[in-house]
Amino acid sequence: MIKIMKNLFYILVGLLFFSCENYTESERIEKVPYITNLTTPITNRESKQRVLLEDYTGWKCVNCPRAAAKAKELISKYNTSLVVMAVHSTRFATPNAMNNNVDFRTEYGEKWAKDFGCNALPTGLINRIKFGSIYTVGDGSWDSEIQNQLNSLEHVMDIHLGRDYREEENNIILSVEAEFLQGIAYPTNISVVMVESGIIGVQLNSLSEYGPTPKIDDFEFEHVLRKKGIIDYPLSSESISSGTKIAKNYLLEIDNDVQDISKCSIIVFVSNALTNQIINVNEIHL
Amino acid sequence: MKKLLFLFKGLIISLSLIITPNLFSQGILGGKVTGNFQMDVQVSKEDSVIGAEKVNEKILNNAFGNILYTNGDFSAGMRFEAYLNPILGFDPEYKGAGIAYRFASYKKDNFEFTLGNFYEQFGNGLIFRSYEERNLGLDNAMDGIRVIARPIEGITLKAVIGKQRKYWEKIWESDNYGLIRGIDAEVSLNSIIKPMQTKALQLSLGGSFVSVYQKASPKYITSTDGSLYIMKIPENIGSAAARFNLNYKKWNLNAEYAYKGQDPNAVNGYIYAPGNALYLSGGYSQRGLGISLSAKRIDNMSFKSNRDETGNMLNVNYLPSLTRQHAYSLFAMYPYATQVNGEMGLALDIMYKIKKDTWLGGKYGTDVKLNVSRVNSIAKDYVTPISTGSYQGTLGYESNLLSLGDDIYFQEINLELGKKVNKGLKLNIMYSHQTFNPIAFGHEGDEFVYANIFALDATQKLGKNSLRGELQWLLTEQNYGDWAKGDWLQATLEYNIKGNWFVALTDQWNYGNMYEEKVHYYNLACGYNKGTNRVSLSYGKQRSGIICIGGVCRPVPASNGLFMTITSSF
Repeated sequence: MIKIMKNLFYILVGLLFFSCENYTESERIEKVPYITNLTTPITNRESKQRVLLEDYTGWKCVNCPRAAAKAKELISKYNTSLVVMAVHSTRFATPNAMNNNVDFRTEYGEKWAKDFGCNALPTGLINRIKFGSIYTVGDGSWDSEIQNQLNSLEHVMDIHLGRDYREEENNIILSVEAEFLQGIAYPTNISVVMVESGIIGVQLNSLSEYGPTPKIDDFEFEHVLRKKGIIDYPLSSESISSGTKIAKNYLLEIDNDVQDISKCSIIVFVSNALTNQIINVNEIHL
Repeated sequence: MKKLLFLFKGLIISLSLIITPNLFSQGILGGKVTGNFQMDVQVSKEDSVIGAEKVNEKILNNAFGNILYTNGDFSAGMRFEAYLNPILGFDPEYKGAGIAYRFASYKKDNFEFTLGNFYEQFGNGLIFRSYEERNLGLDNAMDGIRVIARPIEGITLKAVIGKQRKYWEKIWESDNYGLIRGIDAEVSLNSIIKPMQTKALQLSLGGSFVSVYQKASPKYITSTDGSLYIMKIPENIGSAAARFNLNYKKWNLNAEYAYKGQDPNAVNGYIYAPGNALYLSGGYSQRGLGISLSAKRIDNMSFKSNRDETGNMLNVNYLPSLTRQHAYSLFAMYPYATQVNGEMGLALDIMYKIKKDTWLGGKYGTDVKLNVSRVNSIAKDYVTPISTGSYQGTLGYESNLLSLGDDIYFQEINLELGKKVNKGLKLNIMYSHQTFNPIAFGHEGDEFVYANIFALDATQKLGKNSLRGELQWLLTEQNYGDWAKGDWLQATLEYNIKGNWFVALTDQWNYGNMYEEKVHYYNLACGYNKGTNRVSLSYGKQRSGIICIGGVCRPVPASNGLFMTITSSF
């Protein structure tokens, strides 16, 4: 009897080892390398509610030049109240010989496209606000929605920034001061990403008013999200009171694909960890 | 009051006319339709003395109805539930209505297939139990597929895959709800080994394996020096259990051991210690005597299909309670809640019938029931916390399987005497001494409650009617808070008419409360049964407290008002 029970138990324990994951002591936790004690003075300090527009795009998306032009127009209109990030993602961004195998995709950009339902391009997210059951907003509605958000958003916090580009180390020290103007009762996350503008490349196009069709060989890509990023790291836990300031210093590696560092900027956004909605965003140029 | 009586009478007549067995339990396409229905309606008003909060909706309602269609080896069914809005004490997340449970099942040769929702349990439930406990507002029904195979007589194999219900959440649209996969095998050796078929020794063996997959999102820990750490979270949590059940003449022994792999979760504080549980139960029974001894040890066995979930929902397993489930309300005032992070307990039950025509037994004999149970903490050797200042991300602790902790969680001794005095009069007398650690209410470190509780219950037959009187008395020195309010006295008088009608008056009086008003929680109830239909109506005050069933608990807020229940089956 005991023998049978033992055998049965060994079979089950065998199954257990095949179907569960066990981590050794050294594997369980690891220190996050992006956090640093190095600091740099805060130079971008302005109390302002901004809106983040994420333009989900791809070189194979024939209507995306239209959306890119719209984003450019909105930057002129809203100036520093609007921050734009071009997220090259989905099958529309898969590189091939036609675009010289230039790959603007990022691991986290792909994840965002999936998480927020950005399948049909061009499309966009505005502060990752959910409109009914969806997050996405077509480029035709970007202007009105940005205006709505700027009018209605509660100015809860500010993000003040300072940066130090270290050419030799190929990294950037980013100092962030998150200043909460109101108390909040939810946890927040912070994300730090780099975007690059002025990259010339191939873009398919179906609308002649935005360039040659069916292909623009010298399309100027703006605000292209780069591969190295610090995504959804905890900034504050359950609740935070008005007047709280949280200082963080990050070490951001520079992507090997970056073509011209002077055309890069760092975007920092803080989101509600429960809903993903962006509370505020700021950008600092290099 | 006239209007209420009119409404009550109308309901009874309507139910009696509409819900009759002849109408519903008839063949449809050669099959049979059965079902049941229950509706609870609550009207509660604000009462600052007892802490009853204002109910904005005025009327609250929980209702459900099961419809089951059976045709030979095929069956299908559904349960419609409505919480409009949930009655007090039920999680507001239940608000809404819809089909919460639906399934289709058929048997073919040695197989049985279930598609949709199902309830299932492997062994004692230590690694898998999907069940519903309506009084707790607990329903972790599986939604998926179940296959049961009986290849030869004496062998039962089960396989399940699916996700668990959580209120009305769209479980298939989110990665927050883990996918449960499980297999179970049970072998009756007396059925498959010929020489054992005629033996008095009956033995069955069983084993099960359950794994939960839940996508992991990054979990960060901030250390005391401000450094940030990221935890590697296992996405597949495996567990296994082995058991046997042995019967020999008047003896029986049931044992199960379960092991769970690394499962850092919100309940255990995100530690990596593996979990284990041991459950033993043995007994002896003969005419007039029953003895049962149970023991269990639980170590880090919270097993949920969402690692960040706390509370009663999404439990994959069930950890049986050893303590007695009391029927008398003052005896259940300090119920025991299973401590899933670690406990060790022992329970002894002795039932003895003193023979009739003896000095103690009298003319009809006397039933004596003794129940003793004690639950302690388990000893834990904690590891050194990393610089994060907490045990998160570490093994947490180590604990030897037999090491008992110093803290008492719960202890009680119950003695109950049941005696038929004459043809018409039955008496039940009960005494309990309870030692209660408020950790069961989540208040670790609060002063223990020591209570002596008495009950006298007498039922006198009056022809076809009967009159029941019940007196309960709780004595405790502790008088310091929400749940320790000194002495209580409860009296109930209940009159049953021909087994159809009943009227009952109860008063639960907190006469020993030193710091608040000595409230009378009175309640007047009446009800009517006919066939499988029952309607009951009560009006009065309900104290706030905790209700526990099988060691799983939920808080019940105070209320003051009307409560109506309609149940029916066909």
